[in-house]
Amino acid sequence: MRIGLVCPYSLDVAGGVQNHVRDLAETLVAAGHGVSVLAPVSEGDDVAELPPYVVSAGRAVSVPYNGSVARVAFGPVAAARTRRWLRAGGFDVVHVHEPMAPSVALIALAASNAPVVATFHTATERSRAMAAAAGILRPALDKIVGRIAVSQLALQTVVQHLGGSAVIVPNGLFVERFAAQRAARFDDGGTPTIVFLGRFDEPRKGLPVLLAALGGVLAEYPGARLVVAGQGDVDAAAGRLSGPTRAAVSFVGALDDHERARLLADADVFVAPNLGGESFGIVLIEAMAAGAPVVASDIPAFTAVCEHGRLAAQFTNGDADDLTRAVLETLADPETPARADAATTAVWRYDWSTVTRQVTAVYDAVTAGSALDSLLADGPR
Amino acid sequence: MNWLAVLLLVVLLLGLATVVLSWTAGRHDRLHIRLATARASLHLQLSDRIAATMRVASSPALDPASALVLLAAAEEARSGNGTARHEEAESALSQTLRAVFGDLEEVRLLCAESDEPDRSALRDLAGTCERVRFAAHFHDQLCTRTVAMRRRLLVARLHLAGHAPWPIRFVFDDEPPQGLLTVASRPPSGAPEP
Repeated sequence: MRIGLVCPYSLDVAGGVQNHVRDLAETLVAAGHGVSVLAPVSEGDDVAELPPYVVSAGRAVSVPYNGSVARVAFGPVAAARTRRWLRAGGFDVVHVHEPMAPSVALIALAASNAPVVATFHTATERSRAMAAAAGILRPALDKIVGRIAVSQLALQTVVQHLGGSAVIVPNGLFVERFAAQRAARFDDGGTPTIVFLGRFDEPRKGLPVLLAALGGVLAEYPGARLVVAGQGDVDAAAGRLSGPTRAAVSFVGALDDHERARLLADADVFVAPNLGGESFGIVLIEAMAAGAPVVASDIPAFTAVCEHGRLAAQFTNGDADDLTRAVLETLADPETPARADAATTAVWRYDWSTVTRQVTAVYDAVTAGSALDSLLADGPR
Repeated sequence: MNWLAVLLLVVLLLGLATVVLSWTAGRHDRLHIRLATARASLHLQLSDRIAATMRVASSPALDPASALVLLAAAEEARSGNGTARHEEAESALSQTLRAVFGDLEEVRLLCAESDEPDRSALRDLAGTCERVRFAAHFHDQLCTRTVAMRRRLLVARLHLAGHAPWPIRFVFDDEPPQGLLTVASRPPSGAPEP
């Protein structure tokens, strides 16, 4: 099958949507499909470094949208490139991601003649601005044949914005990459390692809650360490810490998949104190795949992944004292390893082998429908 | 004899002080009126810019993604009016307009694909962007002058400004989209491109 994927955000920036599109493209190529990915490209990017299946939709620009800044592509050049890509591709199905972002996914959706599948990733409130833009969005969004939401929350967004429904296919993960590191696990006796992953200077990632909770953990386990992995301003974050807490925290910067897997495999507790704005919670799934016991805030996206406490401990969102309690309980509980094992088994349903099969099933469904359409249109009258 | 001279001098001085003070108060009054006018003018230009942005966003020549960011930013600015995030929303609109219409080549391409009414909407938008910038500049200048005057000891102590409100600055990013301005400033027909 010839599949055209459209990513609205610049691929060189790390992000849930970008990672998903890249990994999906690779698994589809591995399954023998013809795949082309249209995406914005950042200025000064070495085009040679992009995977061969990526086609540039033009220069990515930063634009304020819906309360944050998006790196997207639009304008006559991007529109012309999108149309050319659609014509040259001869796709059986066009799969756009995040079609409500102001970027090439929306342009491709409006311009495509092939059947379109759209994946909705984020859970966003229907803002006044989006209501005002409904006239522009509606005709394009009406062209979507197959709607996919990555989670229950993303599905609610689709229902709220568009009405109707969507099928849920979760974000994928190469579980094997993370699970392979589990053998490296060692017992360092009495000095637990706590791990945090994410852009730590983004308030909604909740690092301050974890730092506030750390004092209580250090009182029980004076040798405990907190490893913070991810992008952010280390000096600003470290500056807010006082003596003993400062000594217990180390910042290790951004890590790739394999480094993250190794760090998670060594973790005694992985803490996800996110305050909100998450639609899926891929970080939890990575940690579970690597075998790290998880403590997560009780935001809806995380509660769904944790299966209401069956796979991981949860604490009251934003409550540092409750986080201290959850971490101490997880460290002391003899059931913790068994729970982490159950989680590792459970996350296999997020493995790309499963997710890609579900996505191609959606492709089959929409192309079969459109084949029938053209048969009816061309048939004898 | 002597006391008469002193009395005369005192009366003269008092008279002089009255003249100076009332003249200063009058200047103040006029400055505050001009400030109020400048503020009203700035707000008028800002709403003109929102209206022009919305009109351009509905042009069929524009791709839906550009239209979406423009509409969203214009709507944010419109609903931000009178709230604490007004300046922020107007700055975001300026940034969005630069992201969409900053590049000269892109604007030329867009104009080539547009028909005359759409092109005139684009020219209107360019005009409002320029006027917003000027109105913001004049308003800011008047704020600076009014504040400087009100900080003077005599004015402050003698309450010469009366109950006029303290000037409120309107601090926002007013940088216009250069590509659009360049294309719009070109003579309408027949003339060679710059």
